[in-house]
Amino acid sequence: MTKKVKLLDTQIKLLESLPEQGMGFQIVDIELKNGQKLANRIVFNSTYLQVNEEEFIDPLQIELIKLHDEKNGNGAKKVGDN
Amino acid sequence: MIYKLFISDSNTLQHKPETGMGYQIVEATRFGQTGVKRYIVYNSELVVNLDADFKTYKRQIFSEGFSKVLNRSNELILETNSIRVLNKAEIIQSKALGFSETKANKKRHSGDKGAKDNSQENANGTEVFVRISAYEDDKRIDFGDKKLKPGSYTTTEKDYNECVWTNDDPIDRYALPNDETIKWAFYIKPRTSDILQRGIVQPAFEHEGGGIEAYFENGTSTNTYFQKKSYGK
Repeated sequence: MTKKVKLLDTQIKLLESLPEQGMGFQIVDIELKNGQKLANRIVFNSTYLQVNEEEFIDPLQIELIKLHDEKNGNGAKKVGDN
Repeated sequence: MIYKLFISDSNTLQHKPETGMGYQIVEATRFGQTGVKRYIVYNSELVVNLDADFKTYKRQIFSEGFSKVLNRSNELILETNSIRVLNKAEIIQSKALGFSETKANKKRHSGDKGAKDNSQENANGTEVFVRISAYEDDKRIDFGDKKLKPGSYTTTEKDYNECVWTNDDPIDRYALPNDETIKWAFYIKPRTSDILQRGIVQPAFEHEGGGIEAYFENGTSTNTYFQKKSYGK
Protein backbone atom coordinates (compact mmCIF):
# COMPACT_ATOMS: atom_id res chain seq x y z
CA MET A 1 0.00 0.00 0.00
CA THR A 2 1.18 3.46 -0.80
CA LYS A 3 0.08 6.96 0.02
CA LYS A 4 0.98 10.38 -1.29
CA VAL A 5 2.62 13.25 0.56
CA LYS A 6 2.19 16.74 -0.83
CA LEU A 7 5.51 18.52 -1.12
CA LEU A 8 6.17 22.11 -0.12
CA ASP A 9 5.75 24.88 -2.68
CA THR A 10 9.53 25.40 -2.91
CA GLN A 11 10.00 21.69 -3.58
CA ILE A 12 7.23 21.68 -6.17
CA LYS A 13 8.80 24.67 -7.93
CA LEU A 14 12.15 22.92 -7.95
CA LEU A 15 10.70 19.77 -9.51
CA GLU A 16 8.74 21.80 -12.07
CA SER A 17 12.10 23.05 -13.32
CA LEU A 18 13.48 19.54 -13.75
CA PRO A 19 12.64 17.09 -16.54
CA GLU A 20 10.19 14.22 -16.30
CA GLN A 21 11.02 10.55 -16.68
CA GLY A 22 7.61 9.79 -18.14
CA MET A 23 4.32 11.55 -18.73
CA GLY A 24 3.32 13.05 -15.40
CA PHE A 25 5.95 11.65 -13.10
CA GLN A 26 9.52 12.06 -11.93
CA ILE A 27 11.72 9.54 -10.18
CA VAL A 28 13.78 11.16 -7.45
CA ASP A 29 16.25 10.48 -4.69
CA ILE A 30 15.63 12.33 -1.46
CA GLU A 31 17.85 13.07 1.48
CA LEU A 32 16.29 14.04 4.79
CA LYS A 33 17.83 16.43 7.29
CA ASN A 34 18.51 13.50 9.63
CA GLY A 35 20.65 11.87 6.95
CA GLN A 36 18.09 9.25 5.90
CA LYS A 37 18.03 8.61 2.17
CA LEU A 38 15.02 7.64 0.11
CA ALA A 39 16.04 6.36 -3.28
CA ASN A 40 14.09 5.85 -6.46
CA ARG A 41 10.85 7.46 -5.33
CA ILE A 42 8.06 8.59 -7.61
CA VAL A 43 6.64 12.11 -7.58
CA PHE A 44 3.42 12.75 -9.48
CA ASN A 45 2.76 16.09 -11.13
CA SER A 46 5.89 17.50 -9.45
CA THR A 47 3.73 17.66 -6.35
CA TYR A 48 2.89 14.34 -4.71
CA LEU A 49 5.60 12.06 -3.35
CA GLN A 50 4.55 8.43 -3.26
CA VAL A 51 5.59 6.73 -0.01
CA ASN A 52 4.84 3.43 1.61
CA GLU A 53 1.80 3.33 3.88
CA GLU A 54 3.90 2.77 6.98
CA GLU A 55 6.34 5.60 6.23
CA PHE A 56 6.00 9.04 7.75
CA ILE A 57 7.73 11.66 5.66
CA ASP A 58 7.54 15.28 6.68
CA PRO A 59 8.31 17.50 3.66
CA LEU A 60 9.84 20.04 6.05
CA GLN A 61 12.54 17.49 6.81
CA ILE A 62 13.63 17.13 3.20
CA GLU A 63 17.13 18.48 2.72
CA LEU A 64 17.81 17.48 -0.88
CA ILE A 65 15.81 16.33 -3.87
CA LYS A 66 17.47 15.18 -7.04
CA LEU A 67 16.33 13.31 -10.09
CA HIS A 68 17.19 9.64 -10.12
CA ASP A 69 19.38 10.01 -13.18
CA GLU A 70 22.68 8.33 -12.53
CA LYS A 71 23.88 8.69 -16.11
CA ASN A 72 24.17 12.45 -16.05
CA GLY A 73 23.71 13.39 -12.44
CA ASN A 74 21.33 16.06 -13.66
CA GLY A 75 18.98 17.80 -11.35
CA ALA A 76 20.84 17.56 -8.05
CA LYS A 77 19.67 20.64 -6.24
CA LYS A 78 19.05 21.61 -2.68
CA VAL A 79 15.57 22.80 -1.93
CA GLY A 80 15.62 26.56 -2.14
CA ASP A 81 18.54 26.71 -4.58
CA ASN A 82 16.36 28.09 -7.32
CA MET B 1 -9.98 -14.35 -8.65
CA ILE B 2 -7.63 -13.78 -5.76
CA TYR B 3 -6.53 -16.67 -3.60
CA LYS B 4 -4.30 -17.50 -0.68
CA LEU B 5 -1.92 -20.22 -1.78
CA PHE B 6 -2.02 -23.54 0.11
CA ILE B 7 0.89 -23.66 2.55
CA SER B 8 2.77 -26.55 0.96
CA ASP B 9 2.46 -24.94 -2.49
CA SER B 10 3.70 -21.71 -0.96
CA ASN B 11 6.71 -23.56 0.41
CA THR B 12 7.31 -25.07 -3.02
CA LEU B 13 7.34 -21.64 -4.62
CA GLN B 14 9.69 -20.26 -1.99
CA HIS B 15 12.29 -22.66 -3.34
CA LYS B 16 11.79 -21.59 -6.92
CA PRO B 17 13.21 -18.43 -8.53
CA GLU B 18 11.19 -15.26 -8.87
CA THR B 19 9.99 -13.99 -12.23
CA GLY B 20 10.50 -10.42 -11.06
CA MET B 21 11.07 -8.67 -7.79
CA GLY B 22 8.45 -9.95 -5.35
CA TYR B 23 6.43 -12.04 -7.75
CA GLN B 24 6.39 -15.29 -9.66
CA ILE B 25 4.36 -16.02 -12.76
CA VAL B 26 3.25 -19.59 -12.55
CA GLU B 27 1.53 -22.13 -14.76
CA ALA B 28 -0.17 -24.89 -12.82
CA THR B 29 -3.18 -27.16 -12.56
CA ARG B 30 -5.58 -26.83 -9.65
CA PHE B 31 -5.77 -29.82 -7.36
CA GLY B 32 -8.35 -32.30 -8.61
CA GLN B 33 -8.86 -30.49 -11.90
CA THR B 34 -7.49 -30.65 -15.39
CA GLY B 35 -6.12 -27.88 -17.55
CA VAL B 36 -3.29 -25.48 -16.89
CA LYS B 37 -3.90 -21.91 -15.82
CA ARG B 38 -1.53 -19.02 -15.45
CA TYR B 39 -1.26 -17.10 -12.20
CA ILE B 40 0.81 -14.33 -10.71
CA VAL B 41 1.89 -15.10 -7.16
CA TYR B 42 3.02 -12.28 -4.88
CA ASN B 43 5.38 -13.07 -2.05
CA SER B 44 4.83 -16.80 -2.77
CA GLU B 45 1.41 -16.62 -1.11
CA LEU B 46 -1.12 -14.29 -2.73
CA VAL B 47 -2.36 -15.66 -6.04
CA VAL B 48 -4.17 -13.80 -8.80
CA ASN B 49 -5.50 -15.35 -11.99
CA LEU B 50 -3.77 -13.89 -15.00
CA ASP B 51 -6.90 -13.36 -17.02
CA ALA B 52 -8.94 -10.48 -18.39
CA ASP B 53 -9.86 -9.33 -14.88
CA PHE B 54 -6.29 -9.26 -13.60
CA LYS B 55 -6.04 -5.48 -13.51
CA THR B 56 -9.23 -5.20 -11.48
CA TYR B 57 -7.88 -7.63 -8.91
CA LYS B 58 -4.50 -5.89 -8.84
CA ARG B 59 -6.15 -2.55 -8.11
CA GLN B 60 -8.15 -4.24 -5.36
CA ILE B 61 -4.94 -5.46 -3.75
CA PHE B 62 -3.35 -2.02 -3.97
CA SER B 63 -6.39 -0.24 -2.59
CA GLU B 64 -7.23 -2.65 0.23
CA GLY B 65 -3.75 -3.77 1.13
CA PHE B 66 -1.89 -7.04 0.70
CA SER B 67 -2.52 -8.47 4.20
CA LYS B 68 -6.21 -7.66 4.28
CA VAL B 69 -6.84 -9.27 0.91
CA LEU B 70 -4.69 -12.27 1.82
CA ASN B 71 -6.53 -12.87 5.07
CA ARG B 72 -9.95 -13.01 3.50
CA SER B 73 -9.07 -14.94 0.35
CA ASN B 74 -10.06 -18.52 -0.27
CA GLU B 75 -7.34 -21.10 -0.39
CA LEU B 76 -5.98 -22.34 -3.69
CA ILE B 77 -4.47 -25.81 -3.83
CA LEU B 78 -2.35 -26.73 -6.82
CA GLU B 79 -1.11 -30.04 -8.15
CA THR B 80 2.40 -29.69 -6.80
CA ASN B 81 4.02 -31.52 -9.68
CA SER B 82 2.31 -29.26 -12.20
CA ILE B 83 3.78 -26.01 -10.84
CA ARG B 84 6.07 -24.30 -13.30
CA VAL B 85 7.51 -20.84 -12.73
CA LEU B 86 7.97 -18.84 -15.91
CA ASN B 87 11.04 -16.73 -16.45
CA LYS B 88 11.09 -13.26 -17.95
CA ALA B 89 12.09 -14.44 -21.41
CA GLU B 90 9.03 -16.66 -21.57
CA ILE B 91 6.81 -13.80 -20.45
CA ILE B 92 8.21 -11.45 -23.07
CA GLN B 93 7.76 -14.13 -25.73
CA SER B 94 4.17 -14.79 -24.74
CA LYS B 95 3.47 -11.08 -24.56
CA ALA B 96 4.81 -10.70 -28.05
CA LEU B 97 2.50 -13.46 -29.22
CA GLY B 98 -0.38 -11.95 -27.29
CA PHE B 99 0.26 -8.59 -28.83
CA SER B 100 -1.10 -9.63 -32.17
CA GLU B 101 -4.18 -11.14 -30.56
CA THR B 102 -5.10 -8.69 -27.85
CA LYS B 103 -3.28 -5.43 -28.49
CA ALA B 104 -3.51 -5.07 -32.22
CA ASN B 105 -7.09 -3.89 -32.00
CA LYS B 106 -5.91 -1.26 -29.52
CA LYS B 107 -3.47 -0.01 -32.14
CA ARG B 108 -0.50 -0.37 -29.83
CA HIS B 109 2.96 -0.09 -31.32
CA SER B 110 5.97 -2.32 -30.96
CA GLY B 111 9.61 -1.35 -30.90
CA ASP B 112 12.43 -1.16 -28.46
CA LYS B 113 13.21 2.54 -28.60
CA GLY B 114 11.68 5.10 -26.31
CA ALA B 115 11.62 8.79 -27.20
CA LYS B 116 15.01 9.54 -25.69
CA ASP B 117 16.59 6.72 -27.69
CA ASN B 118 15.72 8.45 -30.93
CA SER B 119 17.20 11.48 -32.60
CA GLN B 120 15.71 14.94 -32.40
CA GLU B 121 13.34 16.30 -35.00
CA ASN B 122 11.66 19.61 -35.55
CA ALA B 123 7.92 19.78 -35.19
CA ASN B 124 6.14 20.31 -38.50
CA GLY B 125 3.99 23.13 -37.19
CA THR B 126 0.70 21.33 -37.77
CA GLU B 127 0.97 18.14 -35.73
CA VAL B 128 -0.82 18.26 -32.40
CA PHE B 129 0.44 16.59 -29.26
CA VAL B 130 -1.56 15.66 -26.18
CA ARG B 131 -0.53 15.38 -22.60
CA ILE B 132 -2.79 13.31 -20.35
CA SER B 133 -2.93 13.82 -16.63
CA ALA B 134 -4.83 13.00 -13.47
CA TYR B 135 -4.38 16.62 -12.47
CA GLU B 136 -6.14 19.66 -13.85
CA ASP B 137 -3.24 21.86 -12.70
CA ASP B 138 -0.69 19.83 -14.63
CA LYS B 139 2.68 21.24 -13.66
CA ARG B 140 4.30 20.70 -17.03
CA ILE B 141 1.97 23.13 -18.73
CA ASP B 142 2.95 26.77 -18.43
CA PHE B 143 -0.56 28.19 -18.38
CA GLY B 144 0.75 31.77 -18.32
CA ASP B 145 2.86 31.59 -21.45
CA LYS B 146 0.70 28.79 -22.90
CA LYS B 147 3.49 26.36 -23.59
CA LEU B 148 4.99 23.08 -22.53
CA LYS B 149 7.78 23.33 -19.97
CA PRO B 150 11.23 21.88 -20.73
CA GLY B 151 11.74 18.18 -20.10
CA SER B 152 8.12 17.14 -20.63
CA TYR B 153 6.51 14.11 -22.22
CA THR B 154 3.41 14.02 -24.40
CA THR B 155 1.85 11.66 -26.87
CA THR B 156 0.64 12.46 -30.35
CA GLU B 157 -2.98 13.45 -30.87
CA LYS B 158 -3.27 10.49 -33.23
CA ASP B 159 -2.10 8.01 -30.61
CA TYR B 160 -4.24 9.64 -27.94
CA ASN B 161 -7.28 9.33 -30.18
CA GLU B 162 -6.49 5.68 -30.86
CA CYS B 163 -6.22 5.12 -27.13
CA VAL B 164 -9.62 6.71 -26.58
CA TRP B 165 -11.42 5.25 -29.58
CA THR B 166 -10.26 1.70 -28.89
CA ASN B 167 -11.19 2.11 -25.23
CA ASP B 168 -7.62 1.29 -24.32
CA ASP B 169 -6.23 1.70 -20.81
CA PRO B 170 -4.01 4.83 -20.83
CA ILE B 171 -2.19 3.75 -17.66
CA ASP B 172 -1.05 0.57 -19.40
CA ARG B 173 -0.53 2.08 -22.84
CA TYR B 174 1.72 4.84 -21.51
CA ALA B 175 3.21 2.66 -18.71
CA LEU B 176 2.40 5.12 -15.96
CA PRO B 177 3.35 4.24 -12.38
CA ASN B 178 0.09 5.41 -10.83
CA ASP B 179 -3.32 3.84 -10.91
CA GLU B 180 -5.05 7.19 -10.64
CA THR B 181 -7.74 7.93 -13.15
CA ILE B 182 -6.63 10.03 -16.07
CA LYS B 183 -9.04 12.93 -16.18
CA TRP B 184 -7.51 15.60 -18.40
CA ALA B 185 -6.03 16.05 -21.83
CA PHE B 186 -3.91 19.08 -22.70
CA TYR B 187 -3.41 19.95 -26.34
CA ILE B 188 -0.20 21.47 -27.71
CA LYS B 189 0.66 22.45 -31.28
CA PRO B 190 4.42 23.10 -31.39
CA ARG B 191 5.99 25.47 -33.89
CA THR B 192 8.50 24.37 -36.50
CA SER B 193 11.28 25.72 -34.31
CA ASP B 194 10.33 23.36 -31.49
CA ILE B 195 12.33 20.19 -31.17
CA LEU B 196 11.11 16.80 -30.01
CA GLN B 197 12.10 13.18 -29.83
CA ARG B 198 9.50 10.48 -30.42
CA GLY B 199 9.44 6.78 -29.67
CA ILE B 200 7.46 3.87 -28.31
CA VAL B 201 6.59 3.74 -24.62
CA GLN B 202 8.62 0.87 -23.19
CA PRO B 203 7.25 -1.61 -20.64
CA ALA B 204 7.57 -0.31 -17.09
CA PHE B 205 5.82 -0.48 -13.73
CA GLU B 206 4.26 -3.80 -14.78
CA HIS B 207 2.57 -2.08 -17.71
CA GLU B 208 3.06 -3.00 -21.34
CA GLY B 209 3.45 0.41 -22.92
CA GLY B 210 3.16 0.51 -26.69
CA GLY B 211 1.81 4.03 -26.96
CA ILE B 212 3.67 6.79 -28.75
CA GLU B 213 5.66 9.17 -26.59
CA ALA B 214 7.17 12.50 -27.58
CA TYR B 215 9.72 14.21 -25.39
CA PHE B 216 10.35 17.95 -25.55
CA GLU B 217 13.70 18.55 -23.93
CA ASN B 218 13.39 22.31 -24.32
CA GLY B 219 9.62 22.51 -24.03
CA THR B 220 7.64 24.37 -26.69
CA SER B 221 7.27 27.97 -27.81
CA THR B 222 4.92 30.49 -26.25
CA ASN B 223 1.25 30.14 -27.22
CA THR B 224 1.55 26.53 -28.36
CA TYR B 225 -0.70 25.15 -25.60
CA PHE B 226 -4.21 25.83 -26.79
CA GLN B 227 -6.78 23.57 -25.18
CA LYS B 228 -7.72 21.53 -22.14
CA LYS B 229 -10.42 18.87 -22.35
CA SER B 230 -11.74 16.13 -20.12
CA TYR B 231 -10.06 12.85 -21.01
CA GLY B 232 -11.83 11.12 -23.88
CA LYS B 233 -14.05 14.09 -24.77
